[in-house]
Amino acid sequence: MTDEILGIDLGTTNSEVAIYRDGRPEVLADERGRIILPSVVALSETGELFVGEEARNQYLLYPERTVRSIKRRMGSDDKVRLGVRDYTPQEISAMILSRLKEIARQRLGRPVQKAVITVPAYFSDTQRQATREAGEIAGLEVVRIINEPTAAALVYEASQHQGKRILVYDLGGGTFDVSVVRIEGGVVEVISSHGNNHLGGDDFDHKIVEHVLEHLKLKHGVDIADQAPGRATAMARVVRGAETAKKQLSDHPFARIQEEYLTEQDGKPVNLDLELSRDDYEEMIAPFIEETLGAIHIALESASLTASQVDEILLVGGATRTPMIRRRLVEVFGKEPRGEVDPDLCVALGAAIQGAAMAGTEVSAVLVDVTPYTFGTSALGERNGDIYPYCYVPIIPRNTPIPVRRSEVFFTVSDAQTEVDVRIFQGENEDALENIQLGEFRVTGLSKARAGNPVILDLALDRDGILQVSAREKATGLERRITIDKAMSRYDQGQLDEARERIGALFDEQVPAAGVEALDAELDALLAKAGARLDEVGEEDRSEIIDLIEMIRDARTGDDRAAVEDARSQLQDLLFYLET
Amino acid sequence: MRDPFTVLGVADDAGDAEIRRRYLALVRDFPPDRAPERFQELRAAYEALSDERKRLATKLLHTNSAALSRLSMDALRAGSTDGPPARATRQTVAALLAEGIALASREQGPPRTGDGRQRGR
Repeated sequence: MTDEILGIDLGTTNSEVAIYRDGRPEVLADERGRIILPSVVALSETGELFVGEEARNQYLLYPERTVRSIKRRMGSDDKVRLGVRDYTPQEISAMILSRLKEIARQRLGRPVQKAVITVPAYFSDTQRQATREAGEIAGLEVVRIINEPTAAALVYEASQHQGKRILVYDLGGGTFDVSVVRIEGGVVEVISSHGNNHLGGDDFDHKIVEHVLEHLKLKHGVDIADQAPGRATAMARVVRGAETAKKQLSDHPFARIQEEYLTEQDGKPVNLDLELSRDDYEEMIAPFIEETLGAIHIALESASLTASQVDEILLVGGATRTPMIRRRLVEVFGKEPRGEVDPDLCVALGAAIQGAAMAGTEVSAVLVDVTPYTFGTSALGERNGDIYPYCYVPIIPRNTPIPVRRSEVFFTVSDAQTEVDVRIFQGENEDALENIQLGEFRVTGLSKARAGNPVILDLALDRDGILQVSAREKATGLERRITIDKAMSRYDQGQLDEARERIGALFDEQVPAAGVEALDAELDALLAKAGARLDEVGEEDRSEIIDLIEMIRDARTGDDRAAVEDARSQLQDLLFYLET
Repeated sequence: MRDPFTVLGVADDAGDAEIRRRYLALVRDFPPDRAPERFQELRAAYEALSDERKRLATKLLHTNSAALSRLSMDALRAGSTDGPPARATRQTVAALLAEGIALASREQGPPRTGDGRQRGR
């Protein structure tokens, strides 16, 4: 059997899981037919873990037991409280991934351990690494991290054969990316990529929330941010109301935010009733939209293109439903964005296409992606006419296709200098200290040569956008090597294993209560298929099929789901084997 | 390093369109995902040949001395927008050679010395 690889879009607001089968990618639905999983995690009072819509609904009742938008904290050291324990962003993300993995297992009828997970193109090295760790905690082998806008372009490619230049505008819940992609001769080539990993639809919500809070202060003299009892729930209701209003404003010129008995002030109930016009809303979010347009110009400039040379505009991410975004893009490009690719699903679909390609399935496109960041080191040099020890020396410039390896030679400053400190940065500023430092290491034991002893620094960026660094003395070949992910990762293998067990246990406690009907329907189909084959197979296979069918029936009657699952997967494998 | 013309399998008078077509076809055969080393070689070769000036620089580096004078004339013409042709000749050829070396060294890494950068503690 081929090694299947899932495609997972781990989003700020929503997540999806997809797989490539029968020649096309498909998003997998959960037991209730839902294909979009809200990226929300909650712990009930009885310690039961909820992921998805149930968790989002619980947010109104128990905001303190609910975690949303964890993706915005990926790569940070922030811990979030869920019930009685603190969790890292990786662990919370792992809960979402575990749920997606479970959906895939139910839908496909067999466990799948491998996945391609998408990240915003503008995610940093540290954020990519954290995403990898989340996958490992969820018990997934992350075979590749790919960029979200690139994944979306892969889906679009399926319908394209002649050469085209495409601008992918990807505005998700928490991140913004813009990529310029060239599709030609069956190769999907990212030319340039830019973005902001702290800008998204969540920010639009916050603007509305701020507006509501201001209104409550003016009209009712109440500050629901004052931490008084019951205020957390009131705040959760305002946040939900803001989200709903935002969505309404995509289709209507006005939205009304109404929450009866939101809270109490001086013993009297406070009823929220506020109308928001699209004009006012657009004024609130205009600075964000303008920022995305600025990023577009940077991406176009890096690709040496003008707006008029772009053939198509592809919208990705739920926030692109905002009418103002479409309007501004039409103003800039003079053409309407494409509509046939679903902005909520295309990233997961593209990840599944990439997964299939990696599993060896013949898919139409080959992907060439770039790094959106410059990587380099610091060196003694001249800056604004003064000697400055931290001049940035770019080694891998942004928009270089990956994988890539580049080197640079440096020289010792003093005679008999036996040690050199190497710092590695990510960013564009000519002052290295204004960039993000990824790691630091020291090369020791250099030969006692005169000043000017050459040391070669070698940077290799792999296909996940994760960096490896080595330095060696040219004269002796003495070498020092680090992987930035190892240097920065807060998890060592033992900690990963421990976290995996802890998160896994949260899921094991739960019997998948729902979903039985959907599974039963699939099971019936399988039994029917097996029955139909009985007459055409050999005696040995025939009796094995009959045994398995009986095992499934017995296990079903006894409601032993584990035994059903075991026999079912055996039967499926047998049928597959007979067919090939 | 291997000569970029050989890596891409194109003649040394190939134009932009042919070089790009050849590069894309090879990338389909050796995608970055499955053949990372080969892809990097292809990419470096493609970049070394991606415009007229770079092709000339690459050609200068990989050529034998008999062809050098003919190429120098090409270089002269290519560089003639920079200043009076007579004065530009040697500088242009030297500059192009330096570019060729820089392009070639990218693939193999060092040596990119001589920029006077120093670092230390």
